[in-house]
Amino acid sequence: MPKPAQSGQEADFAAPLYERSGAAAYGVSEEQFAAILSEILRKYLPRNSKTGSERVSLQEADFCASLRLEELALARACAAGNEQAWKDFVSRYRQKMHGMALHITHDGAHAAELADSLFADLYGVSPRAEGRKSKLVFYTGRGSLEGWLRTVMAQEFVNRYRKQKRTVSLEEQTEDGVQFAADPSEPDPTADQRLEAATDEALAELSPEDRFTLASYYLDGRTLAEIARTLGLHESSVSRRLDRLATGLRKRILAGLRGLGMSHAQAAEALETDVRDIQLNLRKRLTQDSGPKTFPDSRKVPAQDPSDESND
Amino acid sequence: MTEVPKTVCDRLQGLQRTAQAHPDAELLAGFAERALSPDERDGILEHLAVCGDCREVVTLALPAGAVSAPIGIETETDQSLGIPAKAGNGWIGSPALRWAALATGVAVAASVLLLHPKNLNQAMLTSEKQPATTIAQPSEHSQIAASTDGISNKAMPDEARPEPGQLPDKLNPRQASARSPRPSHGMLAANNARKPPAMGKLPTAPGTRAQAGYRAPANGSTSETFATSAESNLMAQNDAPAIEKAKQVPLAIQAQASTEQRASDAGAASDAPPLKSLDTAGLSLNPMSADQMSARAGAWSITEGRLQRSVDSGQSWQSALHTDRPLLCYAAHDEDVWAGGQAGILYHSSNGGLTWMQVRPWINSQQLSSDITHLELRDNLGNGKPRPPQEIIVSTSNNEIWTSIDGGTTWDKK
Repeated sequence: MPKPAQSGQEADFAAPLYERSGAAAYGVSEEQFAAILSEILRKYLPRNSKTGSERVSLQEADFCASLRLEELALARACAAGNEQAWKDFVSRYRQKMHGMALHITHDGAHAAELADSLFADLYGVSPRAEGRKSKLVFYTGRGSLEGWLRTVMAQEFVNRYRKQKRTVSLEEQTEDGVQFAADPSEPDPTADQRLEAATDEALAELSPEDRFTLASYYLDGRTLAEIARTLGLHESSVSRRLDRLATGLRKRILAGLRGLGMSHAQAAEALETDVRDIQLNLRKRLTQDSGPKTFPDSRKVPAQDPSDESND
Repeated sequence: MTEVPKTVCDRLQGLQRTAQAHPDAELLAGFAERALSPDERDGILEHLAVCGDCREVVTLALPAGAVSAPIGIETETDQSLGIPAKAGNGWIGSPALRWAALATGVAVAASVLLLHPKNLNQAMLTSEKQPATTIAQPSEHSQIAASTDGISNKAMPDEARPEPGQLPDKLNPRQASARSPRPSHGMLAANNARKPPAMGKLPTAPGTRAQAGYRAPANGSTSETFATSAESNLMAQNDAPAIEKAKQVPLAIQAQASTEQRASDAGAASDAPPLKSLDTAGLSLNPMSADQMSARAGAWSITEGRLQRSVDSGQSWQSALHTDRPLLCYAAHDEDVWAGGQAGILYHSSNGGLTWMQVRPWINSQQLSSDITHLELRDNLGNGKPRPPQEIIVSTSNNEIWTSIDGGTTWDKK
């Protein structure tokens, strides 16, 4: 448990939040709760969260009020080893965690393994017998505890597959067609420095959300529905955005190429060539970079033998 | 879908290798739940654009779908994600389907004109007799107020005026809509206006929901005015619960029920308080199908996390509400049914389970997210008078008490 806050003003500011959180039921004192809030403020609002007697700003107060205080109190009390908190946590999230794991893995055996593993981490089981160190101490109440658990579980799932990917057998690589992959360091013979420069410039002008949308759709093979849920949009909005981005990028790249000395016809020809090969090259590139598929998913573009595509 | 130039994918792919450190799980979770500041969100998106692993994590961590809703009805999940309800989206976005829908509407209207010219003529006559009356309910609520006090009954055609203690013969919805409540029913309109989400409509089945205002004869004060909702829509075929949304629904032609059928319905639903209220008030609403009426007479239970309803005194049970998380408790009073469950999921039906709306209790930027362990409906006006329950009391696993006196629109927390 973090040390109590030094500032009396911070303790005063934390009093109503402490009451709201219900942390007292889990044996967390007001000073300890204020210290937790101070720690979170230092992490997310470092410029405004100075130690000493500086008064808590309105921004910091709003920030703290927006936290999931009740879930924060539960998580931190669990991390501190409070029995009642752990009991409540188990009753509220144990079953949910198995549901989350099943949603992530789509496999009962793997789901049980993943959920149990995370549960052990949350409890703080240490293989070196150094005492408990619960993962719940990293929860800060920014989003729901359930959402945080889902994300931690998804990270664990991705990490496990990443490890498994490193130990994939040669036979499996052969089955996945890795032997056809070219050396990633090999330069693309069709690459044109001016085209790359114009493309980089056009991509840099896009918003992060637009670049995320492009990467999700064209690199990850995500569906419109998945992207829409991630961004909080409707599928049709994502579809329109992708159309708008494709059209806009084409115009910007053409303009960039003309600015780099190409004629309009030359620039258009370069892009047209790319468009004809888009599917072939995208598959090829994805296959080269990712090797065996990390997350086998029928929705994604399947890796194909380039020799087959050359016949298209 | 318009294709992007190949070079765009190449350059995007090249950027993927630059991702180094990854954001904390709490920031990714906050991003998915839209709990981050705009700057933080942009920062996360900047990282996600170049990090395939984190994109994978964010996608995997998305919660499962919230509610299974009937086809053609947008789910509450869409609303929770901030999806604008645009008329041009979805299946109706297809021009061919739009024309088909228009043609269907014209065909239905023509059929009714041919089959029921008498009723329509009566409705028109009624409207002409009362030129000053208006439809009282806000159009966006797609509700129609039907006054049932003496004055309005006098204006009703003899054919549509019910005998005391009897179920009404029939009522054309146009007739109901043509009558407005008296000023004393202003409370009814105001009461409804406070809870627009509950004033749902059914996008798939055009229907008319008639709202009847009652004034108790005990003391005649305006505080005694209350509302009882009686649905008279064409949902007879649609037993599946629907998610209510605030969307306008045009006036619909109402199906007629035979006298014999109504008699049997009344017998089957003799213990249904809403129907009893209708009888007492002599309300000339109805044509409900047997299914609709029995739906209101059902008993409720929670079994294995699911809300179930029985319309045959418990001999058989049907699932009444599908949720992604287990339900833990329910409360029902007449047609007012609430169901709560894990992680603060809360659903409300104001029509005996025909349609459901997800309610998200929220106060001072804090959302109810704990398990709901107990629900209680309380008539906040008391006095033992027959009136719809006004106050819902929600108890949570962390000993919080949330209350709402307006059908879940605003909340207090104790």
